Amino acid sequence: MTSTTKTKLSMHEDHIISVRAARKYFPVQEGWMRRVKGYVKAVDDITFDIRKGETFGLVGESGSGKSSIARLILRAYDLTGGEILFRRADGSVIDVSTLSDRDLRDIRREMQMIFQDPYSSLNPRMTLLDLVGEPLVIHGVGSQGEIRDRVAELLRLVGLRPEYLTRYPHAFSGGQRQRIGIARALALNPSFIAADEAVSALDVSVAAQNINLMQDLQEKFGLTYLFITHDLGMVEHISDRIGVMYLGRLMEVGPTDEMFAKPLHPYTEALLAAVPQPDPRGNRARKRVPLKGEIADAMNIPTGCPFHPRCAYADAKCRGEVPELRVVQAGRQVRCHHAETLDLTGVVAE
Amino acid sequence: MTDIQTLPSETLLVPPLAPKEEFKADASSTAKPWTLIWWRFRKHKLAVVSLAFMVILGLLAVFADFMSPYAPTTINRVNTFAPPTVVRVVHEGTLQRPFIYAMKRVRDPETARVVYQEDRTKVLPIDFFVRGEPYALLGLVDTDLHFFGIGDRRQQINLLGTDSLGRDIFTRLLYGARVTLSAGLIGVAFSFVLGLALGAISGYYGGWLDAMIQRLMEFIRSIPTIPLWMGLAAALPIAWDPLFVYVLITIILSLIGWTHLARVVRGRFLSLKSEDYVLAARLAGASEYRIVTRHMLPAMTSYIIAAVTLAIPEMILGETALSFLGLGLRPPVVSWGVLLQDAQNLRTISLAPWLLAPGVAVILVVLAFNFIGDGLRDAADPYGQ
Repeated sequence: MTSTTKTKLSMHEDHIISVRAARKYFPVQEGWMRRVKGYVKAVDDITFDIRKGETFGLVGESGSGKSSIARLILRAYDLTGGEILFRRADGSVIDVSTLSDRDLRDIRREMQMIFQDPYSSLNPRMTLLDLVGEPLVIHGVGSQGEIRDRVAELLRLVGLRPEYLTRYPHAFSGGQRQRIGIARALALNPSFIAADEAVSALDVSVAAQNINLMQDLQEKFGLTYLFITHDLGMVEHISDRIGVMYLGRLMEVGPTDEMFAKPLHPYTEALLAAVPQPDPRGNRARKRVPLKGEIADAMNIPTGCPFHPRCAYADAKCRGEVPELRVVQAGRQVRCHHAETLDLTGVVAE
Repeated sequence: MTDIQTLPSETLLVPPLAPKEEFKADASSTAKPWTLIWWRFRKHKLAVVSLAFMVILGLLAVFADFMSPYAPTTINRVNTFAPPTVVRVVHEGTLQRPFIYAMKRVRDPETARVVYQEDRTKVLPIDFFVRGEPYALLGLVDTDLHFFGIGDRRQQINLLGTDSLGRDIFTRLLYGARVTLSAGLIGVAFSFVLGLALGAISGYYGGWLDAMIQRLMEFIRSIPTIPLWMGLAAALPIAWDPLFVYVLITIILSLIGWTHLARVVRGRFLSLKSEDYVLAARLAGASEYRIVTRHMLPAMTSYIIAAVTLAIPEMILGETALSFLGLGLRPPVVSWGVLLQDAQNLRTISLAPWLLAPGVAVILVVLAFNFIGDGLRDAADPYGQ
């Protein structure tokens, strides 16, 4: 019945998520006859793994398809092609993209999401008890009293007073609301949490507090995070490995420190150059690679390497041939024809 | 707890709790959504006044037979076109309980027209809870008690004058309020059902179904209403029971009126579909039924109520217009539109301007509903910035 019975669903023992050649095309419709005039390739041929217990950072400009990946993994969207494997708590491996609604409901206990907007992600008409307790109610876990106790415990875990159970979200600040969202995500003891720009809407100090909270919770419960952000400073702080996305494609995947020290893709280099440097002297010495132009229209992806119109190193090969994501060093993948020959600068590690 | 693993609390690094004072510890943090809506509505003074006015008018209409001194069909041949009776409290310089002077019917020697003169010597005190014409209160209790009246059977108290048959207009206005207001409510109820169903389908499913419903709505809205009403009303056989005609008229009105409501519902569904909290519920494993009933409908009810309130005056105006033109309700049914038929020619208006009282009532009610609707619309989303 479940996908586990199918053959050849296997993944590396250490991996909890394995995204394989995932594609998501949104049809663009025109006129009232809804004729499909093209597709937005939000996610195109994405392959990467997330190891158990790590934080995988996904970075890229807005419109690069970061959020779509999180939504695909959690099956808020259906895949257009490819597969997404997930290792359940009992060790079995399933393909999320082909699950039936009933099996999916079961899986939802093990993977959860933290949302970007702390305002729109909490139903303003529900008390904290109803909000945080909703997953428990849906999955029929425990009696009313038990759910109440569990919600109080969850609130305490994220640093909110259990007395606030009867309050509505409008009584809380943005940072506190985000914690309510974290408590809700934790309610069913998931093993994997996708945090979609989870702190982008918050002030720096509040964001830092919540990041630390998330790291504490990761340690406590052995959580695996998919951390999506456009803030490279944040991703350096929290992530073990990073994937860099551009126009629905992964450009580079690698360990955080190695990538920050020496990027392999020109796009990564440009992103790193844009990170503000706390030390102005270091800033002066740094080579600046300003990124030309805007991210391309996802309906009209440039031929060849999608990044070539903005790349300082592009040549004829880049314009004509689509590069593949390939392993160039142990643990590092890059989608660039010239990865071996380019000498790119990263950020000097403190 | 079957499935939740309880956490060994002593091993946990619990983050420091937020200090208690950090919160605005007022009642608003635990106030229910409807409480917040009411608080906000209360700030809209005009809306509150209008709401009070409508509640009073509604009660007057429900208890019309008790509140009015006469029956709406009682004809008085010697009291036609009587002007509104003035209620006084001062008689020959001394303060008294409310009273009226008796009316004397005389003929103008030049024009031979009937005019009414007050007989300042005859004081008729207004009595409360007087015996009058029998009726069944709320259709249940047979009684002949009226809220007010005068003792003298040969004289009448006509707060808003009388019509060409000597019927008391105040009485007829109250009875007409029943029909007119309920026509508005029933019509809105019909269009509510249509609008909610079609708007929800349109907004929730989208796609070609949405496109079809949208085009249908645009088509209906582009039809000139008066000729359509005339056509539909002309199709109703004249011999039918007036009550049945009344229901049909409201259905006809709502066949056009539902489009506005459907638009509101569709818009809300579209915007709610993309709310993160709806996705969050879905990711928590909530069923479609739960998402619609627990997350989407509660977020819409206040908007729907506001839209419905704003739709009622349209219905009332529609009924009034139809009846005024003689296409809607017909006598002996008493509605404000039917009453206004009496005020159709200039001569009667110049002789008896009080026949326009139902028109004033229509204006007041339409304004009141609009103010209430405005107040509700402003208060509908108490969480907006």
